[in-house]
Amino acid sequence: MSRRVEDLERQALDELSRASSEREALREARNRYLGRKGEVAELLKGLGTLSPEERKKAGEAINNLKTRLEEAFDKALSALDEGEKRERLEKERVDITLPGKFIRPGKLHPVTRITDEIEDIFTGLGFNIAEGPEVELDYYNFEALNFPKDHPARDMQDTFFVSDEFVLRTHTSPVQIRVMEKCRPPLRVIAPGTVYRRDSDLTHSPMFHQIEGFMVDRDISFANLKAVLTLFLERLFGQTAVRFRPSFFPFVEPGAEVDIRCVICGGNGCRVCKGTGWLEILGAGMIHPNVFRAVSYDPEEYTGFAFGLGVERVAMLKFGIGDLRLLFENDMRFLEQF
Amino acid sequence: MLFSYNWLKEYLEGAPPARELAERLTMTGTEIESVAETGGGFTNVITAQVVECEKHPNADKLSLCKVRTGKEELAIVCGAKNMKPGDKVALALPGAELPGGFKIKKSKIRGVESQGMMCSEVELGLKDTSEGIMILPEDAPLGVDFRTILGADFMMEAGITPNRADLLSIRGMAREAAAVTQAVFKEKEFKVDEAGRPIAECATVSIEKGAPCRRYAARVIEGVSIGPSPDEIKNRLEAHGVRSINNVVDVTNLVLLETGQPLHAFDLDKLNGASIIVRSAGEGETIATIDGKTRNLDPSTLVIADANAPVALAGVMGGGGSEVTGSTKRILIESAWFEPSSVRRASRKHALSTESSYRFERGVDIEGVTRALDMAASLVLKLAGGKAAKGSIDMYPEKYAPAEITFRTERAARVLGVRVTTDEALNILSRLGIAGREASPGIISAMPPSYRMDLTTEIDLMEEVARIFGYNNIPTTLPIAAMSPGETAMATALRRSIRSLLSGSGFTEVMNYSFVSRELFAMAGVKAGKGVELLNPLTEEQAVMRAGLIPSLLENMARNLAWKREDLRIYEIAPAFVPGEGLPEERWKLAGLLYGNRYEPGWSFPKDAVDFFDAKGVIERLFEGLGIEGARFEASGHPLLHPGKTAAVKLEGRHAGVLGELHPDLWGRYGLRKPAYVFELDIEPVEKASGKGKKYRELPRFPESARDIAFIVSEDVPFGDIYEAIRKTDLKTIETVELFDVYYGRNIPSGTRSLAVRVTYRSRERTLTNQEVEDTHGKVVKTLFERFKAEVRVS
Ligand SMILES: [Zn+2]
Repeated sequence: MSRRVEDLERQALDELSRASSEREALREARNRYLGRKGEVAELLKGLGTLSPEERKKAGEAINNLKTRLEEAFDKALSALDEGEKRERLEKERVDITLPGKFIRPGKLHPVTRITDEIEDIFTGLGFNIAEGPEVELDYYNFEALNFPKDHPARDMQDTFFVSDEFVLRTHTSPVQIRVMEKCRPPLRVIAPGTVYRRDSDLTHSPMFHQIEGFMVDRDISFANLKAVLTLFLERLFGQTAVRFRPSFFPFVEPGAEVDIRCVICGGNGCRVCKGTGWLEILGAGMIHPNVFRAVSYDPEEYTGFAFGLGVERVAMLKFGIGDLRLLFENDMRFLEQF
Repeated sequence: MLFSYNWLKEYLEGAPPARELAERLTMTGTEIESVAETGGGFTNVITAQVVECEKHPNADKLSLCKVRTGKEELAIVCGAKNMKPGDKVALALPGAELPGGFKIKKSKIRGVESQGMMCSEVELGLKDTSEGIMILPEDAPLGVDFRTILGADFMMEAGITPNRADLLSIRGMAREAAAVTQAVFKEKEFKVDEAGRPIAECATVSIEKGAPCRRYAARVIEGVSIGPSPDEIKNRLEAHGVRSINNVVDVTNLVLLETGQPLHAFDLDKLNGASIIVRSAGEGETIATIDGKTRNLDPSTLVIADANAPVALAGVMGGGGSEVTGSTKRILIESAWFEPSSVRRASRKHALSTESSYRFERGVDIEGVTRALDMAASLVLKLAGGKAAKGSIDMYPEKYAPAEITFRTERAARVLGVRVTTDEALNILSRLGIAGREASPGIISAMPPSYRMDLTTEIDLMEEVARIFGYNNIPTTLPIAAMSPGETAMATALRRSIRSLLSGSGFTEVMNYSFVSRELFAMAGVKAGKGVELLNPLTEEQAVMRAGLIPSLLENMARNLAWKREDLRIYEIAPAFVPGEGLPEERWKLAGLLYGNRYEPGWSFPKDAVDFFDAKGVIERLFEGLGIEGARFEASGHPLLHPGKTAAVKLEGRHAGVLGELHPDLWGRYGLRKPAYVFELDIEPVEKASGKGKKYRELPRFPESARDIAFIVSEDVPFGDIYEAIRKTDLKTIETVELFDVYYGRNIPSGTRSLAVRVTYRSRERTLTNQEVEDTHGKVVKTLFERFKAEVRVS
């Protein structure tokens, strides 16, 4: 009996290896040996003729044979499946170096990007955002801000006039007055917006953007101004040295200009910083008592600081743009870089 | 203001080096914008002494000299003949750079090596002509940088803010320099030798009552000889941007620069009646100013007149008739104080800004009037000779009285955030020439000097104390504030959402000037012809505030096409300006433009161009993103747009904007090869319609059932009407109506089109029976037939 088992196994494995690359032949062979009426089943039938001891031994041998053959056939079949699948997938191969497909998103204007960034820094400090008109009353643009009529301080800002009374605002500072007329302190406000000056050359655009900010409360000091602006500049430009210089704007006193270490040369002196190692970035100061009087705040009760900065200048420094005019030419080759 | 460091030093003892001074001035509020070294436009030139001179062995016209520098002896080939052994010279060493970029190197001249060059004044940029090389004084030290011998100067450019009129002079700047450094300010001494007859015999001065002239002083000098000024004075004036005229005029200009007091010299023989009258101009009077222009006057302008007519625009410019010329023998020098606003008005009225008007407008030291006059007179006597009349005229009816300002140290601590003691404050004030005393504990009573007209209130003194104390010595202390959220204005938030949605649709943001040409303005298609015009535009291209954004976007398109750009999706958010009762109305708008391919040209995207429905889709997507429902598009017209491809956008029944294809008539103007599409929306109705806040709608619990209908209908029937009609057939059970095919052409009668829609039925309360769906669908089919004469093909 054991010889017959051995013979059958040899015969089946021979057949398997001959048919191993053809699914049909393999199935047939499997059926022939392992089917319900297959050779292995036949062998089992023959067990009846044996003695009980022999039957047990032979039965075990046949069952083992069955398991081995099943494994061998299944393995051969699944190897065949694998091979075919591999072949099919291979045919589906793409050139992964071809460019991806996507709908290109549009870009924000660099001035908008910087404005958003600055707005976010200040709203994070609890400042609110306010706006005002671009064609503004002389009163708001100048007089209420302590620029008397016929005063040379008005020469600091070349003005476009719409009429005797109306001007294109030369700064966003009038929003200070508009807000303070409507609200009582405490106030923390920034006012971004478009402003206009009658000046056009390499470094001046007749239209540009400013962000005005101010804080008014009972005990706001110059030391507070320094801290808030230093914090702001460090957020905007990263860790940087900041210095405050006295300067003059009619609506603040003491007035200051704020410089940061030149971001281009790191302070060694270059063309951008005119060799000084510093870049002027902000105008600021303590709100002038006359401005408080113009909005009926008691200057003895309230103090506050105000500041303003040019968005284009920040954009040029942060993005390394050398020519101001690029910002308003709307050349897609430029705009799409941001 | 441009000023010379060396001139400044004439008023200072112990002045710090130029660059150090510049830094210190900048940090105390007088911004020094540049420091330029002058009279030393060369490097590597040292002093040396000629040891011997021989003829060049190979050239008759050249000499070969031995020159010692103190360290070594050098052989120099030289073409000049004027030097002899023992002469000190300026020697350019190899590596030296002379004005004009001329570089010196070792070189062989006619076979003999020259180890440098002895320089002439021309070669050093010191003079325009010179004969031979420059021979230095015998006592010049050997081997030192020649620039130190020249006493090289530094020209400093200061940005003087309008409040600091007192710094518009050398003397004022020196006073400030002394206040902010360890240097000591020292006055110059001068004396007028009054050797002539009494001034009353020479001239008279009167000031009209109420004239804006608070002081008028004059001196007379007889027997002057007019001629050129010495080089020293010419150079000084020229270095400060003032042209040299003659010795007398130069003196007035020099004293103006030095003291900040504008002066004017009249030819006394040309003043009728030898009299000066300070008065308002009469109606119809004219004056020919020294710039050659005749100016019409009226009573708003203050003039200096003689017995007959105006001879000067007070504080602005003198008249040609009385100016000092080569034949002038007797002069009257004016030193006066005019009201700043009066001078400013005259200067603006006559579009004439001078060194004089610039200073008067900002405020001249009324107490310094006679001092400057005396300085000028003494200089004229020195340079032009003559005899000064005995005495001077000084009309000064109302003397300057300093104001007393109270300074509270407590208040200063509150404003500055740092405590400056009373002693410190007093010390700072006194350095600035402000007389102060402690009136009571912590309270200072201070009197600013007459030249500090900007100091009138306590806050002015606080600024003075702070800037000398040093801004960088004030601590940085974050404020303590009640917590409150930073709020973004609704408009800001909406604009941000719009930008982000449009970025997602592939649109890039542009920014155009708000002012445009009249032509571009008119293109915006505003009904009222007049816009918000500028009185003083820079150019005609920027004359009117725009009333719409589309024309600017079309310009952007044209420029980008010129830059070889094929596809464009751009937008802008900005206000349009509409004249109103008071201030113009500023209507914020969003405008966009699409041109070219629908997709970026790539290896696998279809290459078809955008059409009307891409533009419409942009707006629909935007509304979807902003949570706006129920927008309506109605066929409309617009002067810039194709009459058959223009839609008005309605939100909540209000006009909200327009969209359409650019009119084919305009293709040529912009060099188009394909149609362009534009849209413009008013932000305000968009803002109203958005921001309603999203609310969850319950998910459907019962199944839907969809039916398709295809039908042929006249082209004139808008799909929008069909859509509304179908929806309204049964608002309860018709959930959606989707158009999925539009077909024109073969098998369809001309003038008609075939449309196919899918209608989805669903009830929110129960499952609809097949019969219910069939019934409603039947009604839809009937509606299509009855209302639109639609021939239903499949249903
Ligand atoms: Zn730099």
